[in-house]
Amino acid sequence: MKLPRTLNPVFARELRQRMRGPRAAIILILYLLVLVFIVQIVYFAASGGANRGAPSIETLAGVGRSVFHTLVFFVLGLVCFIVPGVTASAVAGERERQTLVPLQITLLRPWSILVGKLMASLAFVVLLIVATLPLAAVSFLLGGVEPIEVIRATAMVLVVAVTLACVSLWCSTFFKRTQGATVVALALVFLLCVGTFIAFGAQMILQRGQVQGRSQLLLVANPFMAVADVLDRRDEQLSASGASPFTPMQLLLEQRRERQRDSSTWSTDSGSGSGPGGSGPVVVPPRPTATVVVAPTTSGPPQPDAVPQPAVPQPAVPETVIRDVRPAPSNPILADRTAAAGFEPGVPWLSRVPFWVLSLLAFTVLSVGSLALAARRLALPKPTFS
Amino acid sequence: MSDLLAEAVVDDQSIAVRTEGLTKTYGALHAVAGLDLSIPRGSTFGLIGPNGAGKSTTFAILASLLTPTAGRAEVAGFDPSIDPVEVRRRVGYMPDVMGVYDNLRVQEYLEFFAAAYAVPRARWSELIGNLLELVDLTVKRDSMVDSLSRGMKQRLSLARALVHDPEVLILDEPASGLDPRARVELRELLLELRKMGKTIIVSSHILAELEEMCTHVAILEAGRLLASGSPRDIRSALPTGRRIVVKLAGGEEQVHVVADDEEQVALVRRLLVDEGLRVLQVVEADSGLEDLFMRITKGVVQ
Repeated sequence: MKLPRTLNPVFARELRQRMRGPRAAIILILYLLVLVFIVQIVYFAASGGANRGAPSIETLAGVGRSVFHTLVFFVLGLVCFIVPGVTASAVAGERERQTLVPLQITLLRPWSILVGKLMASLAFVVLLIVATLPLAAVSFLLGGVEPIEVIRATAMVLVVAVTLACVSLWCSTFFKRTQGATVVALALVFLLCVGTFIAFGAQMILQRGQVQGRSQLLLVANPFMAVADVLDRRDEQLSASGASPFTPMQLLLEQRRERQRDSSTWSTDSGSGSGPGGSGPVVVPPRPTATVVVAPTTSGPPQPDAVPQPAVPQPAVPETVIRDVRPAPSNPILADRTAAAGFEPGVPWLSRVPFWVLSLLAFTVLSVGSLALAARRLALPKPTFS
Repeated sequence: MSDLLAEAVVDDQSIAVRTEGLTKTYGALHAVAGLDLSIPRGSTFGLIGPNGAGKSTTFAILASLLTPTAGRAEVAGFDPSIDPVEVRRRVGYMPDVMGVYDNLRVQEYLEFFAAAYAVPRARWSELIGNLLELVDLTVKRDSMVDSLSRGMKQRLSLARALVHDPEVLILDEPASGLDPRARVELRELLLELRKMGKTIIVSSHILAELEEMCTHVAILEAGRLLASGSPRDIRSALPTGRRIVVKLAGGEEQVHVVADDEEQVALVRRLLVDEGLRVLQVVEADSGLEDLFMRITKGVVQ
């Protein structure tokens, strides 16, 4: 088989090795069988008794969304399992087979070796993800899913796959054996997917259910949260026919969005009392008791409104602003600016950035960091020990 | 064999590889301790020593895989710890352990390394044809790499090290684990390469394995150079005396005799027969690592 001239040599070789023989095809078939099975179950569960006359369009759309969300959920779950599996052997496997040294002394740079490895293991994962898309067509048949949503979800799953591959690749360069690399890569993925939720929950308990500001950083690197944020949520998801596995995460995200609205309006006057040290989480007062809450939290300066807000002439102004702003959601930016100029209620700009953007940022940092560490591990000559 | 040696172009004027006070320590362990070598261009240089003598470490430094703790090395005019890329362009290195990929054909294996050494694609086909012919693997072109025998893998590994037409070849224990036939083939291959003008550095723990094909030999122990020179010089510095093992029929008994040459061996045999002993076997003791090397190092140290 002829391969293009400019192809990364490592990628070309790995493609030949990986795609030769029946292994790749068998994995693909098994993967699709699992997903078909899942779609089938969800379809029957969501459509309930199909014999009870013609279902409404809304019910059908709900089933369609349910099928699509479940599909995305399982693809994401399988990606989390498969990516470390196919990537963790990349460098450790060469070490084990004693083929790494001949590779390292070629003229290939560590970066191009890593990129070749990355592309090779991702090629297969991308194939798996693309092979899933025809299954998503079932949802189109039923309705309830827009093409752009499919594109967004696929893109985010791909980003997650790339990130996990980079992290696994670092494990692969760090450990001498494939086994160790695979176990640690899976553990790290587990930490991202489940550990972040546990830590978030723990923080929520510690802060009596009020989590905001920096604590949300715990969840931005969570693949499931990231994907949940790019999927649309409709109210029918709460009913049986439209059930989505992403609903809990989306409710959490919705809460964040609500708080964000609150904090952006409230920060104008609750900012001065932004908790001990100012770096703690923002305690967002419940809406109706807003003016009441402001007073007890202002434990710092004696005249909290006057000191940090030189731009606002009278302390009464913020209150009126709040009342005016609340119904119009376009004003938070204005309110936030004042907040940023005055105080630091947690991390105000963080709350304004869409969650998926934060996730993308987190994934980029993870990927580039892992790759840089991996390249250092792979570089020769090794630093001398003395 | 000696004709071939005479034929080989050994230009003592230019030095292909030089080390000065080369030292590599791992904590308290001195893997290489102040090694001075100068290897002439076009020579075949044998590095002999027991396991742990520092042969592989030295080779790894020369191949730009390790940086020395102290001292310096120069390979084909470049310092491997300063200009690793320039050194890699000019050095073919075959490690003592050879790994091959699975699910890959011989031709694809060599194509991969040709690409990794940035050999223009237009030249691949001809280059791989020539290399396979050189190492006598032309018929295996489409075989899977991991299905080859050990000797064939070794020759493929050598072809791999030659993909970028290096000036200097560094072969770490190329003959270990090969059967006698494969060793002979390897030796002939190295002679062929020397005729092509390549500087070859080869290591072994067995002097006898190298003396027939090397123009220069150096003996290394505990990271230090014990002796160097032509194989003849080294051999003559050794005490003579071969160990003969005599096995007698009808008993477990073995007799060890030290003989100086063939005549004495014959004498031993005749004497035994004259005594009416039923001799089953008279063989020279295995001149493997323990025996031969003990004698080499002892002889040199004394």
